[in-house]
Amino acid sequence: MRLRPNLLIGGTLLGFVFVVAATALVWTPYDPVRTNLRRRLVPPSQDYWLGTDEFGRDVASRLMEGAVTSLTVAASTVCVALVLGMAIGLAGGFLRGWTDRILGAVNDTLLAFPGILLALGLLAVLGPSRWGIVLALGLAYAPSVARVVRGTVLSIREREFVEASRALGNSELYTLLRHVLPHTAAPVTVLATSLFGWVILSESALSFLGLGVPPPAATWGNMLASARPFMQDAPILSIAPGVMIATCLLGVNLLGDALRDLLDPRDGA
Amino acid sequence: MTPVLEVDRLSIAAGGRRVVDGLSFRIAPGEALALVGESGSGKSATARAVIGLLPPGLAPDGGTIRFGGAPLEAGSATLRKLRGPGIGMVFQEPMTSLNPAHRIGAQMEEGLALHTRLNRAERREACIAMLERVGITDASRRLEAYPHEFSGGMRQRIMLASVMLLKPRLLIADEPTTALDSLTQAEVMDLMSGLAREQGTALLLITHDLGLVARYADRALVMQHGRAVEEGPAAPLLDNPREAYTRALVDALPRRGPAREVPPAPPLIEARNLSVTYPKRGALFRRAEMFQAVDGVSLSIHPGEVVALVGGSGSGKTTLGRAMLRLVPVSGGQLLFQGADVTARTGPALLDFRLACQIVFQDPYSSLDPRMRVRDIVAEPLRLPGGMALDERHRRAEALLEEVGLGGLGARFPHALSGGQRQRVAIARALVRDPALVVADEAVSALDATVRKQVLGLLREQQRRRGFACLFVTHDLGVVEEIADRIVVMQHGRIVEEGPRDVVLDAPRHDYTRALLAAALRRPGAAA
Repeated sequence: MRLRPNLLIGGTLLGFVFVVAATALVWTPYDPVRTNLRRRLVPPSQDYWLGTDEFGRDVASRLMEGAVTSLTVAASTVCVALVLGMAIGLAGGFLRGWTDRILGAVNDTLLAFPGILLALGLLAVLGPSRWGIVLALGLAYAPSVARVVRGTVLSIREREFVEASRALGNSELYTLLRHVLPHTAAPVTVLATSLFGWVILSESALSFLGLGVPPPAATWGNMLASARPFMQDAPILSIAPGVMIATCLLGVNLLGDALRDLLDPRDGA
Repeated sequence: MTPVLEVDRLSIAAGGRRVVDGLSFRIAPGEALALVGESGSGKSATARAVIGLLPPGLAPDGGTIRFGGAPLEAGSATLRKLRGPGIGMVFQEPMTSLNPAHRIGAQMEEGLALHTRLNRAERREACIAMLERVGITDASRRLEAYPHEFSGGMRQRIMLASVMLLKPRLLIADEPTTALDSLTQAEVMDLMSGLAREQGTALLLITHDLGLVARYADRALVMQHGRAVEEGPAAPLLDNPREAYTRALVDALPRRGPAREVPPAPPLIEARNLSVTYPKRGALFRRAEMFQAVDGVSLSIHPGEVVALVGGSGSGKTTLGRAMLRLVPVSGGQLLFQGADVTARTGPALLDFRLACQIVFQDPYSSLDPRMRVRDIVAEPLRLPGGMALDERHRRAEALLEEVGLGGLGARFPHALSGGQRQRVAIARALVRDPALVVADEAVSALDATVRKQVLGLLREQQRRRGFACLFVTHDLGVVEEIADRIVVMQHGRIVEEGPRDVVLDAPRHDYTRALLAAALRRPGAAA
């Protein structure tokens, strides 16, 4: 198998983000939440690699801490969306009939809301907390997963190898899991990687509205949000989390592309 | 007389490889030349090079093409003007070669509007006349219809009509009837050669089917690996092939084997007044209309017997084949397996029945899960009887793969196999559990002639060795000759004729059987 550049670059970028997050678990240069009002908005220096923010907290430490939060929130949210969406999509697409009509109607209704609006509504009920965000964004993005999965299942279930599986005497559930489910892997992988990006952005949008992961915990999103008033005086406050978000998204997307190619036996042979 | 088309040492390259290599031929005005060859012989690439529509990846690599004495250059403005009034083309797939978003009238008129000075009313009149000529009734109303309202055969006629409207001097037909059943095929081919003769159009027929050549071409050019193998007047060439490859192609035409006695035994499977109805497309809350696909059919198959179920598209033969395996819901009648009623079985009892029966589908490209390795596909049926360890299953699968001529290919994925090899995998999957009954649903219809012969031979050999009963569903009476003990003919969901093979083939009683026989492309000159 030849080495794919998107696998290499994507892996490197994402690997970097993970190393940063893993380091943050054991060590950060300073306590990411300790304020020091005498050292507000210090420019990058030997003591403070990326300077300090408006409360005198070390930006580099917060960025590392934020990597942990953002990655866990994004990964858990994508998992919630995938599990829910795949269950709905598989059931609707494979069973057809009334199951499909009802699930489809609910799904389309949810799709009609902008995801962020749906998450806002849910968060208003759940109250802002880390797991509230995971649940709210997971629910908001599940319908698009369901859509993609249902479409794939609809086309796969008409193929003759599915009928061949029935003719062998295999149960419907076995047929669904063995012969239909694997075919959703490629589109779902691609969707999951782009969802990962959407979730990180949505989390920052929610933080901006004060509904994100509650302060003083650091996420790239709320760092970006609180850096807005200081864009002129301390641009590093916006640039640093922005670069991290971009690095992470680019890495995830390239890796997703490479994964999709690897998962397809037609290219692997 | 100047030939209409003169191809001189044409070569076409794909990457570094030549798919057509120094091919020369000419077609006189009004003549029908058949380019014969199997998949990958370069015949379609040649046809597309003539009209300047080579698919991406293929490029001309030397040689000249002259049309009416003047050289053709790919991409030139002259060539574009010639497409239509000079050279017309009919494609293989009638389901996709008409644009589903436009009414057929609009599609037919397109060429006239581009290449003639007729006004709207005249164009419409020409379209109606041509549609009537190709046998579409009520033509003025049908101009307003969309392609999906027509069957495959009718679409191919409409395609033909819109091409012939421009009275081209050369008609290129690329496997024009491969996607059609044999009755429709004969109708469309008769129409095509009739129209070509009326208009003095020369015909370049691309086909893998020697039966078509014998009936519709004046001359034939046999191709293999991009080179001409043999060329000459069609009939002598087929009767007395000089080259080994041509000989092999001719030999691949179906030939009747000796009749067999099937020892008398109680029927293995028996359908009594079996009916299958499908709902036609209905609205959300309205009761859908029902369509009777199989209408009270009684059919029994004895152990070790090969029964051919023959009929055109829409005759209900495929549905009956699937209903006998309980793959589609049965709406009336009874299905007995080894004397026991299995019509309403569910759960474990149905599984017992399923374990004893297998099916081989028509299209080996869609009947194998592309994400599974060949070995796993063949081993999968062994999972269900239970009690067999995974490596034992794999060992058996490998042994059977060896037996069907695919030894050592177990680790491959289906996409890495040819169509014939895939169908062997499908057969191996059907046989690995030693079933009592195998339904072969058009199992060889999608294959090239020589491959079809091999796969058919494999199926027959395995049948003789293992002694399973076989319901062989097909539209092609030619194939039936090779393998069947008994023939059952279906039309409109009912059985119209049934009997021992030789009786049905030599003395058909029903008109429909006679029509099927007349349309069947059998060995030229070898009547029985």
